[in-house]
Amino acid sequence: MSHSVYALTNRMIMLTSQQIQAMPEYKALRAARRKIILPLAGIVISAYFFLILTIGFFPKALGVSFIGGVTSFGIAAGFGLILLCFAVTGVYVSYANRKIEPLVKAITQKAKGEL
Amino acid sequence: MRLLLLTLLFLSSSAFAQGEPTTGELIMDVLTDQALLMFFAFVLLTVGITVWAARRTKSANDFYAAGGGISGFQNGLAIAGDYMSAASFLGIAGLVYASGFDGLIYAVGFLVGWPVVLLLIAEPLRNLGKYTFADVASFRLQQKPVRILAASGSLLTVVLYLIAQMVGAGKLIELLFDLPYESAVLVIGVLMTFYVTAGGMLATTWVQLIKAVLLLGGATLMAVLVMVQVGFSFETMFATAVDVHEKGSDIMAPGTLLKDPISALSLGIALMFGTAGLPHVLMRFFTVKDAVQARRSVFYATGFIGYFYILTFIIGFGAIVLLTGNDTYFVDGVLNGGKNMPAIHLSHALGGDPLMGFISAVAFATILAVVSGLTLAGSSAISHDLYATLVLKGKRNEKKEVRVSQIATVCLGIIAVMLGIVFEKQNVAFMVGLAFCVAASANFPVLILSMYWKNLTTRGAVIGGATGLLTALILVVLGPTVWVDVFGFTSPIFPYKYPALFSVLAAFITIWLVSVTDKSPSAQAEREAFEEQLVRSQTGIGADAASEH
Repeated sequence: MSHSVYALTNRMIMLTSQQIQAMPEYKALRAARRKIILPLAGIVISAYFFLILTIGFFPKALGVSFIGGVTSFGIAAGFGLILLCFAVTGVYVSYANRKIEPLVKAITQKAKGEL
Repeated sequence: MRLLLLTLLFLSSSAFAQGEPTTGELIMDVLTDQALLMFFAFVLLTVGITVWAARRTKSANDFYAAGGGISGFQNGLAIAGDYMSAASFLGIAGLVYASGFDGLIYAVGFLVGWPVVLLLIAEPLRNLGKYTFADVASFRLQQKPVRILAASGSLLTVVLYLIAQMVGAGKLIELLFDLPYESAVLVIGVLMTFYVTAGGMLATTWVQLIKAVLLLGGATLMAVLVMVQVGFSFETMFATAVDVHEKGSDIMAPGTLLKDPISALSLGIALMFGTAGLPHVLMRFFTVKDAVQARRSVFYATGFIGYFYILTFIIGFGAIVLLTGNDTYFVDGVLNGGKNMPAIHLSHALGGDPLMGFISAVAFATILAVVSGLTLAGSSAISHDLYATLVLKGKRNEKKEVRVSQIATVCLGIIAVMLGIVFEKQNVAFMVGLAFCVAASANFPVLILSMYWKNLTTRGAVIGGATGLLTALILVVLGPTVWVDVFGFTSPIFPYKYPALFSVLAAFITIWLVSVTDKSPSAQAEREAFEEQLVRSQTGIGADAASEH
């Protein structure tokens, strides 16, 4: 089982993973992903577990009225989390199309052209 | 092929014909006719599509992954179709009806795993794998033990989920279509086996697409009709619900679903990380062309699923507002048909027999689509992971693999029908939760660490994954849902209903401990292979030319 050499399907040009790792674009790609994934995953996971732990420890607090009527903080938080999920996936997809895709393309092109 | 079709039509029509009136309370002739008509239209359409798909399904890639030709939007809708089971539609609406806010906890929990899937799993999965998530877990680890573990986790998840769907479906159809329980389960088993064996992933995907559109359309219609009743004001809807509900303002806050912090945390972990370990959902990422389409699929899927849960929540509250105090839907003060029926009754209250017929047919279609997706995932685990590794010893033979997959589908169909009948009288509501727990404890840790943690070794993955799997199973058996509710003991040995907190932790800690203490030469080679794997999972270079598997 050898993974050290990658074959590109269309032109069958070989290059090693070390050569790809050495590319500045590869380092930029890793950084770009890290920059977006860690904060977004952190936001969703902590918001969710914040709600879950509030349900566990302070269930009464979630029954308090949100804007004066019967609509409670709990309901607002639940809807808010659903909207947060939309927002986070939307932000990631738009960032990935703008920043990540060009870098992946550049690496693939370079791999085909130069080596 | 034609023979199979004829047998199928014969079986389903004769099964419907023998349906004798069992309970005269809910079932009206009108409903049965209208719902049956719409259900038959759905079956005819999907059978037609399966016949079309069967002609285009030739290679293993066609069978497992629809030739990789599904678009991101289609796949997003199909993922939503796989995920929006009848359990979530009827079950969450029923839970909201019974206790308000508690239903929202499930709705949010089922959704919140999706951003995690998008951010951490979707793209590397597509770049590394071919047909099943075991491809990814065994990418740099030893094929045989890792695939056996992954296939066991997949099969167990699939079977638990299937039992829950089969029993739920049988009960629902018995009630709605006035069909004997066994015939209902048999009809579902035969149809799903037909879709999967004949049309593979392509047919399964289209069944999901049609079902998702029908379900989203039906639920939207119901939610809009509810909002019309309350003047498009959530506050009015909640206020009216609080006035009429027996629990009063308690329905706006957490109730009895989660009694303590440990249960809350444990359920939270199972729902969030279980989503990222469901084999039938992960399998859908191999039906798209590349990582870009995989990413797009999750974006659409999250949108559809989130929208669907908001609808379900409105439907549950609509049921409180519109059903409470209406004698038509109650027998001796209890809601007719039990706790999963509020959505169905509400459709009648909103749109009379035609809407109820439509929603019933949609619920049936939903079950069919979900069990088809599950069955395909189960049969792929058997043929692609177990058979290809153990019998073919890694020597690719696509023809044999597809053949074995079809045989496995038929066997799974028979097993599902039998288990559906065996478990008829059991309360199987906990089985979906258990399926999520197993997925979170056995599949998710191995998958995520194989992608992101350099030090993972075969020994760590296998021992740790198995520890997660067994801990989840043992704790559920010793817990209230099985020890007390099924076995009938007075008090459980393990006090919590949801064991995910403990089993997921056990899996991660064991994987870590066993991996870092693994000094074998093969473990060293596996660690060194990580960087190369990472290059491919990040860039997708080499993903088209996957020849190692």
